[in-house]
Amino acid sequence: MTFLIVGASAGLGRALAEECARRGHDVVLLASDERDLIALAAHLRIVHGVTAEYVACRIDSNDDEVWAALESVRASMDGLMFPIGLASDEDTGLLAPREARRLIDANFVGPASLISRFWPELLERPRAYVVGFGSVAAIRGRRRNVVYAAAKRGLLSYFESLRHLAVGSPVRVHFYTLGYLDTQQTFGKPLPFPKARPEQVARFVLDRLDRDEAATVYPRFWSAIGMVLRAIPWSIYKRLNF
Amino acid sequence: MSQAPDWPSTSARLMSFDGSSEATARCLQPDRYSFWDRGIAGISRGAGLSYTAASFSEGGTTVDHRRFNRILDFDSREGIVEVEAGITLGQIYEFATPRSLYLPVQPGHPSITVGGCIGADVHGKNQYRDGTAISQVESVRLFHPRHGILELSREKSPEIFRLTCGGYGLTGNILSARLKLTPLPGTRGRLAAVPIESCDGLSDRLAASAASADLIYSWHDFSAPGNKTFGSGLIISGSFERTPEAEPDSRAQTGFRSSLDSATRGAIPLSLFNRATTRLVNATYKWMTQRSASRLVPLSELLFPVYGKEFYFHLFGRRGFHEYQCIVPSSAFPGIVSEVRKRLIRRPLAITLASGKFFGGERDLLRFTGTGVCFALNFPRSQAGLEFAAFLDELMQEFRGYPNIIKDSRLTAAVVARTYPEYEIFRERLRAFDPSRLYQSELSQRLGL
Repeated sequence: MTFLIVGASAGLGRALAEECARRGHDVVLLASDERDLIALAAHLRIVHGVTAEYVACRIDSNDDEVWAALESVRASMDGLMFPIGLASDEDTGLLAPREARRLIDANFVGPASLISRFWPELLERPRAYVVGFGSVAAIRGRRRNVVYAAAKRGLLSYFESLRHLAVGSPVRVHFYTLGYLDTQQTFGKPLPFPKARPEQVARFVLDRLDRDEAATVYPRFWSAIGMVLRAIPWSIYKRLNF
Repeated sequence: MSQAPDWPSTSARLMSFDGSSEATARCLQPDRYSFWDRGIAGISRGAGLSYTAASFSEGGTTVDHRRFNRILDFDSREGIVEVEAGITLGQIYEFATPRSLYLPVQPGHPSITVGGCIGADVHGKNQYRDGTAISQVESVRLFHPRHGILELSREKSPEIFRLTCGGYGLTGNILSARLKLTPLPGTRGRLAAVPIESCDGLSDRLAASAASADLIYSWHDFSAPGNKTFGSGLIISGSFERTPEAEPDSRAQTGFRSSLDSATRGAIPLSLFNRATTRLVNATYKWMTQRSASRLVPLSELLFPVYGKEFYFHLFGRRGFHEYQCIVPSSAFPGIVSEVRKRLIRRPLAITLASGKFFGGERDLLRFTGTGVCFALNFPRSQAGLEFAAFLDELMQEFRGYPNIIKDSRLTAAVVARTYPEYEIFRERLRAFDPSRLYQSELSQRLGL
């Protein structure tokens, strides 16, 4: 099978690409910096003997540009994975409109546009997969990661609808709400909860591709944390600063 | 996710593997090539297993390369592999072994990174035959904010190439290297241990096997200097063997699980080595090693003899250990052993490891290479150990030996300047290349580099 991995240059994207290749799947890597893609594609070809191609472009670009960039590879796609995420330390409710739009495009519009382009072709495959990733930051709105969390919550809703649309079709739709991952985003930060390794997440995702599952939280303990967060009364929640 | 303009960093407390040096440094662990566009100069760090503080300094900047650990190119015909500098020897082993290839020059644990090997110009199982790390490096790509990304080799910028291989990370960040792999002569290893009664004639005995053995070194018991058994031990040789029925080395498929880590090496608060326990450990090691005249072992055991024996370093406790490794002229070796023995009788010290190898080659800059007996002594870190190491410094001057810079955290600039004839040449060339001396470590500061 061939998987398109959007946001493949590092972190979870790289881990997904490596896990796909380890299992013998071909990959198409999409990210903005060609240098990272060249290195990863070469490694996957040499070590795992799979076909690894790459497309350097930004997911938050004009979606016609993204679609055109994928022209040479899109016919053979069996699965789409979207580990892409874009956040900003300034995302506290006062982002400039252009920057807010950029976060929305990267985290929601870009993936949704690409999925809608591929959808007719995926329905024709004997088996196909669409995998999206959200964040525990979207469990409940708060004064940080305002636009990012909203975009990820929107993406969750979109994937829920996609899963409904896929009933009776060969397409399996998965969505993972992820806790802290050991990537650049969390490097060196004191965090209240343990970090998962991207490699662990990648194995978890690939193990479940053929299951028919609702949105999954990983690591699992975040489900309990999410329930608690959502249950906190507003009179208390408004005083929290996190 | 993409990053804000500044690269994520953290203030971390780093420690040398021998437990001697600690410092708080600003650490970065980039995972994308756009990092090198930022012009950030920070001394490179791989696995952080250098005995000395070669990858950090107090208040300095350290760049951790471990997320740059990919294979970039492989020429199966020539046996040349291009790798990012953060790749470990274990990862290369897992790639190369099924292709009947290996790296002849590599130290004894798979967690060590290629960048670290090149920066320290390490030696392997048979330096006399295989040389040091530079022998198997075809080229490197080096980053320096002022020079950009440089391609270095024996043909292209040879002076900077020689300055970088064995340059302790002081010329810049090694991004990648092209390495020459060697055809694997066998599918398993055969280890043989021959008892010896003393260090007498060691140089000749090692030299006799050095040209042909895949692995050759000696081990000696220095724990009882007053006994006539002082210096007795084993000459351990290893060779590849092709056995048709051999099963593939499981570690080539499953990877190496146990690792070394300078942060956890000193987890045990106290050293478990004293003179009594050292004698017991030495006797046990000797008995275990010479139980069979020769035995077949997996390739990984032949190439990574320290793997699975990580507990040895933990036994030194939080205070850690000294390793004094030196090259001495073969003719001087008996005199040095005699002086060491007299010293240990006068002022006893637990010598946990005494080991010899036969070296050959020419000296160059600050690389640990040359011709003679390479001898290493391990002992617990203590005031007595410091004094013993200072005594060994004096012996080096008397007998024209020289210590390994990457092994001894208390070496001074004066000792290195005295024992390395090209010390000043190294300093001059480094300053010509990098007048601002952007890359610093505790090691470079201590040695006046």
